[in-house]
Amino acid sequence: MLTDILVQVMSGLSRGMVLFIVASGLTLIFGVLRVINFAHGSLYMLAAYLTHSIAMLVGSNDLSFYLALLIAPVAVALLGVVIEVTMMRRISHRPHQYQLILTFALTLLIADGVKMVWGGDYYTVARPSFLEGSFTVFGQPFPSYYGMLIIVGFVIAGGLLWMLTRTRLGKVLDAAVSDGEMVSALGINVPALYTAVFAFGVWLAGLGGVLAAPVGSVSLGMDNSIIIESFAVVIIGGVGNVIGALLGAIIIGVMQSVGIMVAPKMAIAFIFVVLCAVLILRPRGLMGVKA
Amino acid sequence: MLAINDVTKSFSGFRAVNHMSLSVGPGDVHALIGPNGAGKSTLLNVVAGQFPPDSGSVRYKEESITGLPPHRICRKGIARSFQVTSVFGGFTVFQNVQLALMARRGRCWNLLMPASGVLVEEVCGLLDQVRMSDQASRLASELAAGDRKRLEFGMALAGDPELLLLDEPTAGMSSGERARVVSVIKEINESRGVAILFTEHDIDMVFAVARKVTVMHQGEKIAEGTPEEIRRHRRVREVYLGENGDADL
Amino acid sequence: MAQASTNDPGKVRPAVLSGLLRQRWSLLGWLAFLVVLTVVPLFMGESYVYLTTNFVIMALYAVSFNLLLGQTGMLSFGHAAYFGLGAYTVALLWSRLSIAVFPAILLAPLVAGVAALAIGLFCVRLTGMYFAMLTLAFAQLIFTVVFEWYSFTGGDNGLPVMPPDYLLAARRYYYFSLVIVIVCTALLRLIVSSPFGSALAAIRENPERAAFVGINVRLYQLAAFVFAGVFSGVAGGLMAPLQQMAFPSMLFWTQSADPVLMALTGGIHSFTGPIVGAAVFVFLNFAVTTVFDYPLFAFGALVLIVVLFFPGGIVGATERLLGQRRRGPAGYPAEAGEPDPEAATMEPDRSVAQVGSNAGNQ
Repeated sequence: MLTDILVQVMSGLSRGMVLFIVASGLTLIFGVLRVINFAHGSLYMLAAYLTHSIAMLVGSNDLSFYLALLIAPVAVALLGVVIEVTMMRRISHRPHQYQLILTFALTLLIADGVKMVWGGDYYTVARPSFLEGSFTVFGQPFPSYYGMLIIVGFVIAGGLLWMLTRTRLGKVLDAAVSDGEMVSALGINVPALYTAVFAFGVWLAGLGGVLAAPVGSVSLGMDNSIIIESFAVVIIGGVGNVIGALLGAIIIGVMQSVGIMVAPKMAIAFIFVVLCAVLILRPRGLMGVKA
Repeated sequence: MLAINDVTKSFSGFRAVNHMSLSVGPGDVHALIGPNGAGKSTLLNVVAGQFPPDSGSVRYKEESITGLPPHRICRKGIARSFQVTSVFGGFTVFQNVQLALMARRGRCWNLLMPASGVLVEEVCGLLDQVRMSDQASRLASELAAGDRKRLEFGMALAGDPELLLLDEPTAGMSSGERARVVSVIKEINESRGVAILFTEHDIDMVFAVARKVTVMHQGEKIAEGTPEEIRRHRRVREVYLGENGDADL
Repeated sequence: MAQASTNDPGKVRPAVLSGLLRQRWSLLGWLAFLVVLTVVPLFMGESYVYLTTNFVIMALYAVSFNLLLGQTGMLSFGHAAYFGLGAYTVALLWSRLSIAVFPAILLAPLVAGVAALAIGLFCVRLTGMYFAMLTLAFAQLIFTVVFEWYSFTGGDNGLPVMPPDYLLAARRYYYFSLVIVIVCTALLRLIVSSPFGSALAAIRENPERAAFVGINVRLYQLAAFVFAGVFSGVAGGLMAPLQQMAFPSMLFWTQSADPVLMALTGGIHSFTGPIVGAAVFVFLNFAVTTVFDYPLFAFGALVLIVVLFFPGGIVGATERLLGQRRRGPAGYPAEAGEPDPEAATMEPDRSVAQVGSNAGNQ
């Protein structure tokens, strides 16, 4: 029984890692640009579909997955640049609800756009051959691909932390999250910073999309499910806080995996119970600082 | 009427106001002066309820108002104007004063009657008093600085206050505008008997209007007295001449 | 204006009067609209009557939502909760207790209002984005409970609700809905132009200032939240019998986006905006689906254009077009000195340029 739970925890961890990668991009955008980017989940979905298409073009083999890892996140990041420069920037001086609605309109466009291009079918994407099988933990088989996701998640968390705390760019970002006006006072090109952060955040969403593609299936509706969970992660962790996002993603991933075992029906409700509790008790999130 | 007793307020370790005491009597015109960062605005904000003091008390008419929220303090008869003039930009001048009046009279829970006809005569009277009648239908966001300030006074008067807190009432104004605002302040004090506690940078204005002056420096009171006494006070001259050589005291 | 002698309170009077005059014109406009809504469905096919019913219900939903966004400056992203609770109240009373639609619909706003009160108590403590997220989280929580509680709500199968025989015909149900929607919309119109509505607009314009004129900001925000919930509950309660089914999707977050989109498309700065938005939303959606397989794409594009180029929505853009002709090319109100009749409408919700600039930004 205990080992069952431990395996569930690990599987929740792997699930949480994809969520973390997507949500870390969202939290950076939220933190720096002060925009709730509803389109984040749509761009994640788009990258997953691109992964499928690349596999179709190249032939489904290991190469196609690596190519997808290279190309798809960059492709959606470029789309992010277009969105930021041609749309978000135009209305950045207006109240935040306009940006929120703008990104929501984009989710509608992308959802139907994907349907136009790829149709309503489900697609499966093959895992790279060396991650096909499973290994044994606590005497039970555990899929190698999930193991890889856990490792990749922690590597990305480490990389982001290194970037935010050890590099100049990171320090600028950190300053921008805590005080947007200070950054312009430092003589930094704020519009360019915003575009870069938006593109980088979207790149992370794309990366999450590619990594998620071989887990379940690539299908319409991926956008809706990931975006709400990502919001939950961002709020639970604290806006703009990468460590908080890691914590939040692990909490949600594990809670869902274990929750499905304990009370299958209420597993999704748990997220929102936690989310409401955090917003009521600590509106700035677990790792957030009080303004 | 207003008694500030031993009030201290810090912001993340920085002591903005340090053991300040001050009292304002009925009908007084009391100026609070001091160099930038002396804690004048913070003290006004504590009185108005923007934030509670760390220690000490604020009493109004023998009743503690320490730490009450702004809307409760407002209803007790203390009105304020802001350093950066604060009005409802999308409202007309008329609507601004009308809203303040409705809020004060508890009419804002009236849900089913059009607001346009409420208290019109009284609003006109108030606009007249602050000399804004001829601009009643302009949007507040389009007004010049002095006009906005007088609109703000009109809104403050709507509360039928006995004490008015003014934070730098003439900041950023031309001398013509300034004279107009000063005359309105004097008139409010004389015709309505409203006590006024104000902060000010412009020393000429302080000596023209105030009957009592308190000088703050680094959060503390360093002098208090009539304008004449303050003019002669040694410590005040040091602080002002030390930091602000062109002050003509 | 330094000369005090020229000041005359009487000067304000014409401005007030011209405001009242405008109100009379707008009353005529409303009457004409009502006549159209009453007469035209008599000559429509059933499916069009169904569509028009859909429109009047969505219009109520959007107008009630705009009491929060346009009037008070609060962006709720969980408004579907109250719409859905209204729908499920009627459906549950019919399915579980065999209570007919007509008395049941009176309970829908009550249930929605109580839920809005309970949830609002927590939500109004937050502002801006955090407020939006908490309303969304609560709505999703309610959605999940309804979705998973098969034995009580029927889960994703939905819950049937049949209108009584005398309301079964499409046209009858239309008039039934129309009467209720008119009553509710008139009430909302009164609320918006009442002193209470002015207080809400003041909170939207400048919440700190509002507190300093003696308004208890959170209490008023909570009241606005409850009213918006109550009237959305009515809309939801009307929608379930129309579809003869209450679905969990009525509570889903995409349903919460509907009134936001409708209000924004029509224009949040006027009372008519959300109604126009609802018309566009319902009829355009119908027109697009008949010729094109991708209605979301069309609607997304429309919203994108409105958000990018017409911040005042359709109504705002129209008013500007008409207003510019009257005011000259600059679109500026008259110069100082002479009262500008445009600016004297006494309706705070017309302040096109300013609205929302202070709305709970944080």
